[in-house]
Amino acid sequence: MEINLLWGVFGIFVLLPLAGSILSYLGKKFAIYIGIIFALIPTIMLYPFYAQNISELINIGVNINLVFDTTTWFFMLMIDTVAFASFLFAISCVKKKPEGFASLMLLSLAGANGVLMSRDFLSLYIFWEMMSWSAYLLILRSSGEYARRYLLFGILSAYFIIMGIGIFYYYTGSFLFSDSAGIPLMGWFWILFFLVVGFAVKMAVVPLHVWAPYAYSSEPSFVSFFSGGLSKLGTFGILMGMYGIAGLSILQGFGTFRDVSLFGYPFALLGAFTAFIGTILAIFQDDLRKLLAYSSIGQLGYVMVGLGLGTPLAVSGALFHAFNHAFFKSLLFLGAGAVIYRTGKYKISEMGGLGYRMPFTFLFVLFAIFALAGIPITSGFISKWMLYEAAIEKKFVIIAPLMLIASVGAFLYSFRILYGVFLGQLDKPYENIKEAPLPMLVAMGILMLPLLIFSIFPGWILEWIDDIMKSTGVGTIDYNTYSYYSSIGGANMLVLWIAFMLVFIVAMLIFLMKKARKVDQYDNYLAGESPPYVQLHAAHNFYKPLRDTWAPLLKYSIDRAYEKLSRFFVEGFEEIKKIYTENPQDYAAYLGIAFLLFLFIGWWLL
Amino acid sequence: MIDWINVLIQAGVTALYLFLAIVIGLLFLGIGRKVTARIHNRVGPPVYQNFIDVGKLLAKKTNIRHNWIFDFAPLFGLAGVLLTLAYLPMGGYRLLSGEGDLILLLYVMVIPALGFALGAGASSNPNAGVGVMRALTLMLSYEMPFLLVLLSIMILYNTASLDVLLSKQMHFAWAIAMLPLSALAADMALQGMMMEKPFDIPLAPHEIASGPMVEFGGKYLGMLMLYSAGSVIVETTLFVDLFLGGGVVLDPATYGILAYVVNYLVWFLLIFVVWLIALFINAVFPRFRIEQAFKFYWKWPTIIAAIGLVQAYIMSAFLGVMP
Repeated sequence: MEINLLWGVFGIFVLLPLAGSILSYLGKKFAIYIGIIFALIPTIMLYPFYAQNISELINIGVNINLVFDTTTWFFMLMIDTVAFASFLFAISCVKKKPEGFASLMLLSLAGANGVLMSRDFLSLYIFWEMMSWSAYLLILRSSGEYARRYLLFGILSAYFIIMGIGIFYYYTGSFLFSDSAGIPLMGWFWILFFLVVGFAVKMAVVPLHVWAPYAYSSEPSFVSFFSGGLSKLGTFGILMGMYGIAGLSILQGFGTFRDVSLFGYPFALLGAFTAFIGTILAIFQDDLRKLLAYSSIGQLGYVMVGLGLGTPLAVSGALFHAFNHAFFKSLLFLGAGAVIYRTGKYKISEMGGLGYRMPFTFLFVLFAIFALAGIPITSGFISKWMLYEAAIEKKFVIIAPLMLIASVGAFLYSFRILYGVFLGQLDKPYENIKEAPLPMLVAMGILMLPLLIFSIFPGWILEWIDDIMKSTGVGTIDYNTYSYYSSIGGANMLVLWIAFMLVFIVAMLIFLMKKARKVDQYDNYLAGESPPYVQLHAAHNFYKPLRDTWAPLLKYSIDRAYEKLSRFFVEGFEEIKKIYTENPQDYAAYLGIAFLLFLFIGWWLL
Repeated sequence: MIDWINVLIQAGVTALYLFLAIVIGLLFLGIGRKVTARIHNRVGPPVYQNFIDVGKLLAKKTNIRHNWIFDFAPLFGLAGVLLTLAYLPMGGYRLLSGEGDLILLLYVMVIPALGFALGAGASSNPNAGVGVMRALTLMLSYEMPFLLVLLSIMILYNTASLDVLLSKQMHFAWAIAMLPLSALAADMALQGMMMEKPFDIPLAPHEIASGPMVEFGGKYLGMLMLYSAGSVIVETTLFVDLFLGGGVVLDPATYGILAYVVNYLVWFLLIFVVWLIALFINAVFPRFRIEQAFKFYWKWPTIIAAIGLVQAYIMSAFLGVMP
């Protein structure tokens, strides 16, 4: 019975998308619709499988272990929902070879679900590569250059993970996560280091983030799945590596600083720097997609902080933030995609005033931005709150201010999106622009719901997270349906919502006392000037004064450092190429030198 | 079962406190105009001028609006500032949220500003866009020292709850005595938070025609004036709650209703002093440019706040000072 249930789960969440991948490739024109069906089934099937705990050892020559528990369920919930919304969005906008798109998306969905189900390194790695390569091919649909950058870091990540796996196998002779007894501390250090760094590439942690702004500039409907869904596999990997495989006792064996492992602390610090750097770079972007990409880097930095700190509050904050990020960031990418679909532009300074013509898109994006900025009427606040309090209650005076100031910076780039794209003056070319098509709006609406629901009932999601905390042995968190607590504070969301509603009604009453006459957008105060028509949308180089003050620091760039490194290698190989002189005598000399070299080495070895 | 009568009484008292806060805010704005005028050797308007202004603006027959997002500004502005006031202990009386969490307060404070910025952005006046850009840049500037200050207080008093902070300050010592450098940095940040000179860059009436406010008139401007009256109280009270014990001198547990009255009066006196300090600086300084403000804030107040943070850290982690 048990094994049947596991195969059922495996069939629904991995084999079904795989089958869908082939079917949709054959489906040609209807590929996207087939994709929707095959993404929807796993999403819906998550509900009957809630709180199941299925685990099975399977021997295929080596032992592999497939598991379906709350951790799997929780991550699948975000990845599958986001995948479904992305497919829905793709109906209207993916016109170029839809069968390739649908087939690769389902392949990476199958890979992602497989990664989440595997509790051994062999299946983890196979599914990981499946997901990673289909993502590469999907980026390749837009640009070879972007795809190469992603590929380079994807391979780097895979190498790191392989090294971690290799060391693990060297000590244990097994691929199973559970067979981790008898590894010395030094072995643990290298295993965890390689695994965490390898998975951190997927989360785009500085300085391994340079692929993200390029990869996230490809097709919006894929990017929303990529940034929202697939990057969470990095979170899952680190969670598994640090707390699932090793566990708190081994992490604390590296020494502790206020109950926080000395192994995790540098990663938390790195996460805080990532949050800060990602935010600062996002402020200065003019390309909508790049802005969102840097913002994504910054937000996943918060997740890294939580995973590094490793207190129950921090890890649950990280998981909650990953969950929120999955929804609001894919919503933002879809909103950006809708705007790009309608205008054909992707520079913020070339848009403006679209909110009056695309009100629903605007409202969805506004809500996502509230969540991104951590406004308390969305669930985005709660996860940020948990991470801050986790850092403050342990008195970490570098991590906490970096996170807090990064969150203030998030207001800056949030407003850049809102003002530059949706508010301000509606330009003449966009006078008759239409609202985004219905499937796009439905996709965005689906993604908005969890952000709203979990802001009123944080207890529901915290219950799932608490389950994960218990199963990984990190500890428990203090919460009830409406409120949540740390050792130094707490908040109640129901009180906040009711109070907000009441004061909003008061403001509404004062507001409705008098009527207002609507005037044209050009009918505004211009100090007595009355130009017939001027484009007055102040969105070009929006934060110029700030940019000027940051200019001395902005000239250092990690992107350029990597490019320098690559140039160094290219030039180095150019030099090496010179040994091919096309002179037989030189080749004979090389042979002689090589022979002597081998002789000496052989003599020395023997 | 919830005690409905108690809840209703609580709601009534809350409404009274909020109403009083707005009234005091308007009075403060009037006093501000008078005091600034006297320093400039002018006569100045009467102190009740702002009440007349708000009354007139809210009663205006013709109002002009641009679009539906434009309406966000007065709605979110006023609602948000009332919500913030409801979370802020005034005279030691906490209105909402048993925990009174500081970080929650910090983010609730953003709601009115963000709503205002949205409405201003929707007015499609370039002055408004520039003004909001300046306001946000200024926010990034002053938040750096201010967050460090908040962090020092939270670390030293080992709490993120304003309620606990007030009682600890009452029983132990006011934070201004414990962390004088942080208080200095916080006051510098406060000047920017209140957008008084030399940091009135976002408004800058002579440059960008009051920036975000430029398109608002009639009931819109009236509600925004109520919003700014509320935010004066929010900002001064925040400083008083953080550093001056929130004006709590008598313990309500022992003195009952008398304590609330006395604390309220002391609180009023303290925010008035904080407001006057801001006014005096405002009256004699010219205006920074925004990049100068940014550089200033990330240099001197940040250094002072960082020293304060080090002090708090040493006191808390090494010397074991546990208020």
